[in-house]
Amino acid sequence: VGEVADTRSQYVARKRRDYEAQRNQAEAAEAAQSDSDWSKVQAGALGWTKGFGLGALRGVWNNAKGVAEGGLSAAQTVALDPADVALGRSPLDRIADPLINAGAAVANELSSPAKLGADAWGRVRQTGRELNPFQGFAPTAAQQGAWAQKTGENAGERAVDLATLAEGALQFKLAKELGYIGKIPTVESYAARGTPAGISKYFAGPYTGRQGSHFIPQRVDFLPKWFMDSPFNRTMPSPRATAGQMSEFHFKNDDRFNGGRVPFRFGGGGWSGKRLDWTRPAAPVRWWRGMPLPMKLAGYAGLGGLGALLPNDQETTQP
Amino acid sequence: MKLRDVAQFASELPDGAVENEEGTDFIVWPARPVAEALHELLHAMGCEPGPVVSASFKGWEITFIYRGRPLWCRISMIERYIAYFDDKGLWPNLIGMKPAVYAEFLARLGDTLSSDRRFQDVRWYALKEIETDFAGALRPVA
Repeated sequence: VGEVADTRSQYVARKRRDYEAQRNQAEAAEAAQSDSDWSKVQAGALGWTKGFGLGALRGVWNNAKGVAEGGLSAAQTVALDPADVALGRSPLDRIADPLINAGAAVANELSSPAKLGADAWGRVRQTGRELNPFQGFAPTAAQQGAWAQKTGENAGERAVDLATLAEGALQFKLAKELGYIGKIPTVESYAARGTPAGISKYFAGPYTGRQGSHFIPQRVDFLPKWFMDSPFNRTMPSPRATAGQMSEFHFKNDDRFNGGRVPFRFGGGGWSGKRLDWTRPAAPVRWWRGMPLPMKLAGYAGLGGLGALLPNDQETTQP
Repeated sequence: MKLRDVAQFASELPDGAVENEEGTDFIVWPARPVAEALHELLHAMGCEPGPVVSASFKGWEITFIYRGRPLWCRISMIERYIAYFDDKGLWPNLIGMKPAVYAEFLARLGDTLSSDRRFQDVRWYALKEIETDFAGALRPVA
């Protein structure tokens, strides 16, 4: 009798557990249905924003890693290898081979325009799936938020890639403006821009100043001088930069610098950037342009360090 | 209330420029005597000005304190002299709202500058109005 009673009590207990599990399941399903579309939109927007930040940090880290690996690979490519020397091959052969292979792959793609179009369209659709946080509603707001976070991470990484490319283009432009690369302006090139003759002659002469251009202005007196005059805060032009190049660079970066005087040898009088039709970018662009590259790299390294702490992830689309 | 904190004026004081031997550039940049006259004027207004400092081709700069507020001035020259004034505080520059004491300083400076014979035909501008067709305002605070 005792054995039967035990079995019965076990049976009741099991049934109670089953009923409780069924009730929990039903409540969960009901709760899931009670997540309104609006709450899913909110969770999605929040998740996407959070993911964008995380993805951007990871993107910075991946780019920094990519640059380091690329540099190492380039160094290995150009270094002399004893095996190559024995075969009479030069480092140029090692550079040429992958280029030839890449060229052949591109030629193969271009040989079939229909396939090229289909591939391009496929890539556009794939990118849309990777970046769009709302490709339909998930069963719950929590799931919607999680999916949106993944697409946000993808978007953050892409945004960092685009921003890095844009920064590269800006640095190229600034290197030209500061005389590090490209042709140095001449009297004739200034005159061709409509600059009066005397001012053209003055502008084509060398920049003799030694102050450079400070990002945080020198009137900010609570920062130490070593920092204020360091490459993190001061942009110096190339030794071959002209007076005109540095004047124009300053005009673009400082809205309290609008012109100056011309020595008597060149006719005297004054020059005004606005009268020379120079234009000054809007404040945020001006601020970004004026920030020296070492300061930007330090910020990039800091963000990359944070990105390195995040778990790596593959690009993910919504299921 | 609109603040115009850039003054343009003429002056019969010498420009103080010293050119290099070749005459191709300046060793001492123009506007120093006017900057020193402005330094005296600020002192007479009860400010505590620091020294007149060269900012190379950008002109001459003076940092000073007016009623406990750190302010700044840069004097340069195109055809006429230009004096840029600003509040040195970080927040007023970030949010673009200057404190009342700065407006009070500008109003007093406007009167003082106009009545000082060393400075003639004083006109006031906002930064965007400089070197435009705008003829300038007679007072910095409107």
